[in-house]
Amino acid sequence: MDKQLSPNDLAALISRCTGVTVTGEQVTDAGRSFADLGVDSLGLMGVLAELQRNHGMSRSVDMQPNQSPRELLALLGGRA
Amino acid sequence: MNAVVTGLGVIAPSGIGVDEFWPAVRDGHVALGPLGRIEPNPYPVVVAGEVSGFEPDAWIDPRITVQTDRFTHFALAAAAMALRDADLDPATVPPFGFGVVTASYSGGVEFGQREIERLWKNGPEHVGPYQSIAWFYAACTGQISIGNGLRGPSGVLVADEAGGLDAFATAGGELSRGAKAMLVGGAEAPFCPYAVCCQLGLGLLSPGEDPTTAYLPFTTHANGFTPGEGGAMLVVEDEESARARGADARAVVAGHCATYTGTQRFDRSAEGLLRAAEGALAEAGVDAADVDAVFLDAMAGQDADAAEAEAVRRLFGERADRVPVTAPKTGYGRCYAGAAVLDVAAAVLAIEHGAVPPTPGVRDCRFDFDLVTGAARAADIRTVLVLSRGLHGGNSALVLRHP
Amino acid sequence: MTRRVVVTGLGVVAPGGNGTKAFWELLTSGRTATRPISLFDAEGFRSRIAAECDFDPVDAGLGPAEVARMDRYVQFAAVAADEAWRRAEVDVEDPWRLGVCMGSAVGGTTLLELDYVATSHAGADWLVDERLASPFLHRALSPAALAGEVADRVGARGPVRTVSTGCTAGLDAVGHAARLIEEDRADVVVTGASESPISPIAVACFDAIRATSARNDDPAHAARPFDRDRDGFVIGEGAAVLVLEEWEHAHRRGAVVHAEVAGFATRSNAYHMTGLKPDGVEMAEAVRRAMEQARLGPSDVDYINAHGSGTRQNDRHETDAFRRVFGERAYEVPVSSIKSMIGHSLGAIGSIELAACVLALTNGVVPPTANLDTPDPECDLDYVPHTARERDLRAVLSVGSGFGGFQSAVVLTRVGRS
Repeated sequence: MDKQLSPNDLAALISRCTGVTVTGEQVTDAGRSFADLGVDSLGLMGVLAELQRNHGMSRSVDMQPNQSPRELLALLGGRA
Repeated sequence: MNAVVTGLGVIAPSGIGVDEFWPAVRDGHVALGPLGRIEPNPYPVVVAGEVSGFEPDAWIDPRITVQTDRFTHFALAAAAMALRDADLDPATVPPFGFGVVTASYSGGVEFGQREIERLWKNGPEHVGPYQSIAWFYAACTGQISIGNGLRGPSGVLVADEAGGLDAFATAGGELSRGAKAMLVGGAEAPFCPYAVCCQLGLGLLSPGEDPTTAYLPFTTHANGFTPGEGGAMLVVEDEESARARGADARAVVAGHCATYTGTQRFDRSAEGLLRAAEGALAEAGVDAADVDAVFLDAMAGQDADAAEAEAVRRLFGERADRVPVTAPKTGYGRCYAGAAVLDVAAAVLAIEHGAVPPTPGVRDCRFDFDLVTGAARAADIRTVLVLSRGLHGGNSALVLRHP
Repeated sequence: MTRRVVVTGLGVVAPGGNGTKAFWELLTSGRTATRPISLFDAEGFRSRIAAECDFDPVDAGLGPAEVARMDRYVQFAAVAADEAWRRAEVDVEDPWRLGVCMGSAVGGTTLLELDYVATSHAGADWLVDERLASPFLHRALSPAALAGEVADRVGARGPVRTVSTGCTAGLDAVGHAARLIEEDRADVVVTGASESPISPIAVACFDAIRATSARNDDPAHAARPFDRDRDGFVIGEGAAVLVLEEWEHAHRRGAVVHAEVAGFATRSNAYHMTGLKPDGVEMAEAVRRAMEQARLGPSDVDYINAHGSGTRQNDRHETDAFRRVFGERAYEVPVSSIKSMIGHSLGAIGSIELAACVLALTNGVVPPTANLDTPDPECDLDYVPHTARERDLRAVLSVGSGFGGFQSAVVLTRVGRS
């Protein structure tokens, strides 16, 4: 597991994979889901696949667009 | 058909939007240049028609940009332009009354090459979630439908270049069955290494290295066509609906016909083109004598050009050397599924402006038809015939009329 | 005057058997033709199962030059077209009135990938070496090649084109072909669809969005439309070809008429490239318009051939669409998905399903939905589990749903000998 992924890193990764501009603050906002940010199911699958490939995240992790980037960050062991 | 063109959106090497495209086409500007999208370029095709200065973000939601290929960027941007040009808000059209038909040839190859490289270099888990929706031929129709809330009848035709004309007949059929408006067109972005690799096998691309002489159909120097990227989307409406909302009919889509004379047997295409032209004119309720201008396919192969010239000669008979014919695509390249669609856009503009645009670069035409060269020719254009041949053997003709 | 369209020829290449006879035997037996992928080494892929055709192009009658020139999906179509054309016994009076309209979603993917691997040295080079490409690669780039090959076999000189609306292409191609006849652009159109998508890139792209079943240890039970325990579709391959003919044209020559193509419509959901809304409003609209063209009401439809891909969102979406159109009658009409037996062959499946519908009409048998052990509680219609059912059928509906948001519907009706 990559312990170094910061909210800003995750935000940049989400932006790159989905085309949605996301900030580090939005990533740590518990009330904001992927869907709220404009990330759909395909976009979220792209984010998860990228984390699994290059950041050591377990392949068993699954998330839905109604969950939040903050939950994802917590799963990654980052500073939420 | 009771279909009228009310809006144009064009993305071509000659210009983005009709305000750039028409002056360039009218003045015979040559927009061909070195194939710069592949750098370095190891391939035996040096000259191409590339769209420069296109910024997808100016037209498309960045979320959509990352999940689509360049051919879909072109189509989405052209659709947005066409709707704006038609001053038509899709929300004002009855639900299920607005559809989309696009023509395609190669799909999203550049996107596909990136993903297939990841697969073979790194493994299956490296293929991203957008490959399934970016590469396939239906990407443009689907994204245009979703992006603009169009829930009407939609379609995707693949008949190479000729499919660009067939799309108008398909849309016309939907309008006659009750649709109120259709976005019709197609776009192509065939300049990534693998797409070029595929096209080279055609044996039809010009190896010429000089942009001013690479693509010279109808001359003794004709030695293949120069490929181009880009395309167009047009808003085509039911005549009654367009009138009811006070929209200007720019041209009437009056008739279409398609024939087939064998894959890469362009030597046999004369009769196919002739019958397609006659069929389209018959559907439009006009004769060959009524045709004021012809937009040619211009394959730039010796046999193919001779067959097209023969079709024109047989269609017009005595009058063959007096009907202005033209191939503006020598100025920006043959854009595959976008090629005939761009011809339709140019034909609508020719009707509006009363001018037959020239065939840039071509001077010494070897056939005894009236090929417009040099500068545009002023003319009162009531009826235009557009001809197109597909690489796999289709011959299509579309008749457009002054409203 | 309305020109009516009838089916006078049929040919099939499908998993579990080539030719119409073997195809129908499989469907009515309720057996499944899904198995571990053998067409490539699928080690490392999430989904490693498929419904493959046991197809040898030479045994199927193609010559060496044809085998060399044609990609696998074109070979399927050529063989299916030969069967359909032979059975139709059309004596072509005017080839300029004979058209071809074929469907495919991903076209020449198999050859495109094979030659990509060769020209890129297995992904090492972005600047592929075109000198290593097959001489037929250019035909793989555009699925117009599919329609062209079929046109050359039957001598067509009329409109020839391919329809490529993703997973509804098989229905849309037949619908488009019927329009060509209705609009008086042709008298006879050879139509259908073909697909051979069982290649690494196509399997990987469905892996990436988890659309396909990962029940790799039990392939025979992996395709489970409308079942609570489904986990996605099983990719398939194959082709079906139908000869469509204008009613009077068929009547004059005393042709055997299998069915009438009585209605067709397609609508888009304008919602998402892959996602479906829980409601089936747009599919319902397509079905209504197709039934309207066929002049049929809800009580006239005797069988619904479902899209039934075996994804949760699809099964609920189309069940809702059927309830919207048919109301209480939806609970009386048998609904089944042959994808449970022969998988989902993307752009081809719509035509293969129409072939099944023609056979259902002429034989008076509804094919079953295999593997439907425990229905999804949200899917409460009669999905004909496991066993085929004899039933007098006069009109059948086939629907399809695909990436891009396309929803299509075709209505076929029974006709006697003309």
